[in-house]
Amino acid sequence: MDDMAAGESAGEIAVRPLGGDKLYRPTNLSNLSFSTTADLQPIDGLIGQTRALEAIQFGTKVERAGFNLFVIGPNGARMQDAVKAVLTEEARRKPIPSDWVYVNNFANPDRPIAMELPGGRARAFHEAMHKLIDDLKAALPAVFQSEDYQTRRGAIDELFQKKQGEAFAALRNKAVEKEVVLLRTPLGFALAPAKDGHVVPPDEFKEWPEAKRRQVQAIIEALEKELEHIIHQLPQWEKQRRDEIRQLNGDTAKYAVDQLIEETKASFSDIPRVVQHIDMVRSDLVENVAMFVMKGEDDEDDASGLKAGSLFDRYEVNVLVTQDAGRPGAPIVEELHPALGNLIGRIEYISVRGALLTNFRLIKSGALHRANGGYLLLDARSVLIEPFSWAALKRILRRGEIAIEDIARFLGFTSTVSLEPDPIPLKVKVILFGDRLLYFLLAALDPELADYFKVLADFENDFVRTPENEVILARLLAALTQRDGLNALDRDAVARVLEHAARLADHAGKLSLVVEQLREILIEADFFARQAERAVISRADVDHALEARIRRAARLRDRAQEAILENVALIATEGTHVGQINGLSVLELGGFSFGRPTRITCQVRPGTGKVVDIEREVELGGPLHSKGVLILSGFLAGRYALDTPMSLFASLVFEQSYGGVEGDSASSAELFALLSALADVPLRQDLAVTGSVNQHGEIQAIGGVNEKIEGFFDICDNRGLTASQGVLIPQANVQHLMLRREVIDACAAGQFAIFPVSTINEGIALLTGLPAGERAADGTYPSNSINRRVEDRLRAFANIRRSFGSERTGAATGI
Amino acid sequence: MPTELHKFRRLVLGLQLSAPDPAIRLAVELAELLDLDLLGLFLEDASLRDLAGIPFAREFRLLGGGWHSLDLDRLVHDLEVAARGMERTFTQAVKTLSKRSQFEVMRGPVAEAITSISNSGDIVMIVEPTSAAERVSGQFSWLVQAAFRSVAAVMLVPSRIIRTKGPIVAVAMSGDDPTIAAAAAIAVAAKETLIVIGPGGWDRETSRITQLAAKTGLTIQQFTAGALSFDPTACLKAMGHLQERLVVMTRLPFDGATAFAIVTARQVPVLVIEPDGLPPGEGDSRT
Repeated sequence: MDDMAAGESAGEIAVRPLGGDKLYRPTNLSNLSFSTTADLQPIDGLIGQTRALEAIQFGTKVERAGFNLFVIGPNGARMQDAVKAVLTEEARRKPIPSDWVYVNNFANPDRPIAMELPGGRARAFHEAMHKLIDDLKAALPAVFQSEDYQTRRGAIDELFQKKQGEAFAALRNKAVEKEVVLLRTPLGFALAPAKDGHVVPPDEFKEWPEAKRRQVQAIIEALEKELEHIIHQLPQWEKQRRDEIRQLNGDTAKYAVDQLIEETKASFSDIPRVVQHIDMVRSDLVENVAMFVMKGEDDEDDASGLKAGSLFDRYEVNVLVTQDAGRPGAPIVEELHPALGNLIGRIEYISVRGALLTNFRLIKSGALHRANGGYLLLDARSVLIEPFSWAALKRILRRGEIAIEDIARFLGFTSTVSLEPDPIPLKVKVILFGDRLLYFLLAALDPELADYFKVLADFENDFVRTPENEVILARLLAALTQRDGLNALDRDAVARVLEHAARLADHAGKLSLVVEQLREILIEADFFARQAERAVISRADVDHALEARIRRAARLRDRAQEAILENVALIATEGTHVGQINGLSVLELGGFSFGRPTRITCQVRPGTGKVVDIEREVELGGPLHSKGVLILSGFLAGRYALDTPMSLFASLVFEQSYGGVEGDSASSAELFALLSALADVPLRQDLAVTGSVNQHGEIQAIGGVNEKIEGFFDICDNRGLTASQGVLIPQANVQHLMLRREVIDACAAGQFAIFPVSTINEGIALLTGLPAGERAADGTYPSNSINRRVEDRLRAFANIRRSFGSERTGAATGI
Repeated sequence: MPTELHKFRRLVLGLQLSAPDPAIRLAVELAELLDLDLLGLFLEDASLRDLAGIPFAREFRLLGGGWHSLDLDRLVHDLEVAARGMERTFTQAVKTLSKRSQFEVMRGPVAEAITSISNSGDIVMIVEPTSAAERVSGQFSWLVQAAFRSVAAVMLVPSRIIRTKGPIVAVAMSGDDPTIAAAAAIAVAAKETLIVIGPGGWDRETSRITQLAAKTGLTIQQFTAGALSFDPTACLKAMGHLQERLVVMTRLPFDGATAFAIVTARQVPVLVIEPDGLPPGEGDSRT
């Protein structure tokens, strides 16, 4: 190059292309001695997340209502794993939570009773009651079929029958004496005159003398009264019989059950609530023993058959949640499908003869029950997309107890009889996981969020790329390979992965902490290593994996580049043109980002001082893009022709852009095109520009700088590098550069260049080959400088507009 | 095997205005066990129609209570309804029966109906009404008399059967008493033990019992009950603490009253069969 570069003038220093050391920062593992990751001490859990770690430790230790955690961070940061690792330690120190069971409420079966037992005892209680029932099933029928019982029962029945029989026999005998017979009719009983033991035929009866007929009628009427009297006594006798049988059954049941009940109680004598329940079971057994033993007797209809399950099921125990006594500490439960029923528990139904029935045994636990006394991990998005789950979770946290709600019933979807189980006291730490956008949206839209999730743990996306941190990340890679059973990585492969971590962080001085993305690379590199029958993953395998990933995802990028190379999308990469420049944009689709050059053009003419953004006019420009264009007006107004009104009309457009445009990263390119058009000086087409600009003409940092540079490089490379091509980037973005090897090599060979620019003056000088020009003490720009040309043009526009206005005024007044 | 041990071909279930379901189920079970046809016979005694023709006739209705005059048309309708209801119950109960079954309604005097339809290959099953009033009613009394006068065997079924499993008891006066073969047939079919209760001097009959056991594969137990008499008390005492499901006895030397006494005391069915060579109706003290 010449001593004075293009556009360089006295007082202005031309922008120099970046050296290779600025384009890519290689990994420095000199402090770490290892051959492969197998030699490294694996590290797991939270790395580089001091802030989040402090929040988690704080949140898990504060035992107050509402101090639940909301953990946010980038997708793929494996926050759950990291938090679980922290919680495991914390949970181990906590006491084993209680077991909970539901038992029948004998007084009100629709409201099952929740019973708390020491951790690990519920199963024993369940088994003890089950055994009791099994024993009773054998013992009760045996005792009720015993000769002793049958004799006593028979005596009662016999007494009853005898009482009835005697009464009716006496009536019959009296009737027989008076030649009357008792008859059963379809609906009751009747008395009829008899002769020789048979009813007198009507014809014969009519032939009887009137006196005899009257006499018989009187006899029958008297007997009818006696019959009626006996029949009226029957219910009372029957009641007495039933009472006596009930008493006998109760006494017999007591005899059968007492010993079994006492044996069962003995094992739980330290839990008064259980003892009390077993006593209630005993009372119910004695009270209702007929249901179990005498089923079908006494002409009792089997209405109880419409219950879900057998009659003995009422004494069973529904173990809702039980702890493993052999494993100390509190539970850590992760519910991946937090539908309402899975979260707060549900009441199931079974179909019996077409009716939906339920009982306390059909109460199923939810994740909150299982996590009670410990930690419940939930994905916030999953909770929010499940109907009713979010509201129910908040409601339960507010109540401090788990109440199972049958939403279908509340909504009227079902009208069958349901249960209202006792609520269970809640003592759980809920930990929600989500991305930042979700959290901030929720915080803005749901004021209750702050009431129930008071502790925020915000995971970092990346951490500073120091040699120490590179070592830490290398050890994390060792842990990932070990955990997933992958081949170890050699030193170069580790270095390459760490460099990719910097590229993922969009910063040469940082390393991504999105572990899942690194893990995916390792898995894919391992695949290629195994395919090549290598036992160790090399740098080439990592490169292969990265290239393959891009190739799989880059169909759209390739089509876009193809359109440019075939001149369907017009992008010039050589020559110059007035009012035309190559801007750069980034497209992100399905997690893959790529840069694409876009032609930006500008036309100017005298006007009212308006810079028209055509994208905005047709509503294709987003608000940030529009803001960037409006800043251009501010820049022009503040820099040029300060003593004259702005009389410019300029139109700016992204050529061949058929979709929305957002962001202000093209605002500097737009300004260069505008200045070119005003100065009537052509711009180099072998350069592309990215960077936003402020009203003072300072170039500001943008995102996706690597992809943008690579996007323009690919086009130039395909057409053949000319050694003059390059990209202007904001100086502030130099630290973000982690470019592809081909770009770096081309730059090193002088075939391509990256120019860091800080101001509009630096950029326009580079793009036009003319100095921008600084305003002198007399307030003028140097002649032939870009700024001078622009200012002169704007004054010319002002004059044109002024004269145009005068002519119009004169014409109007007739002067 | 069961049919070789008994002569029965048909079970006639005598049905009146009420019949407990367990009794009907028992009839179905017995028909299946003994390989018998089953006839459900609804007996509509003519006496009710006669009564309806008497001017002051009225009935005391159990449901709703009170006395209501007896209208012939209404009575006929109610009897028809009762017969159809009984037929439905019967039809439902015989669904699982693999033997032939039939339901008939017979009108007229009960005694004539039973006499005309029964033969020596029949067992007439009579179900004791649940209600004491019904037990003393004319219709039940006439049915029992007719059954015991007929050539058929009679099975008396208590209104409440307390046991459906257990040994079959034969009350026999000698080793060739027909009760033993009949009870053995039932025991074989029901896979139950046979208990034979005999009078003093019973030891002489042991060889026959042993032969029967060998022939049928039955477990047979023998009990000596001293001098079995016509006294129901002696019969009951002889049965002691047996957990039997059925008792089989002959009409002589026992009678219907003895059979009824056993039914009432033991609450299990009693099958009363004709002694070999006895003309119908002979020896029935109830007549």
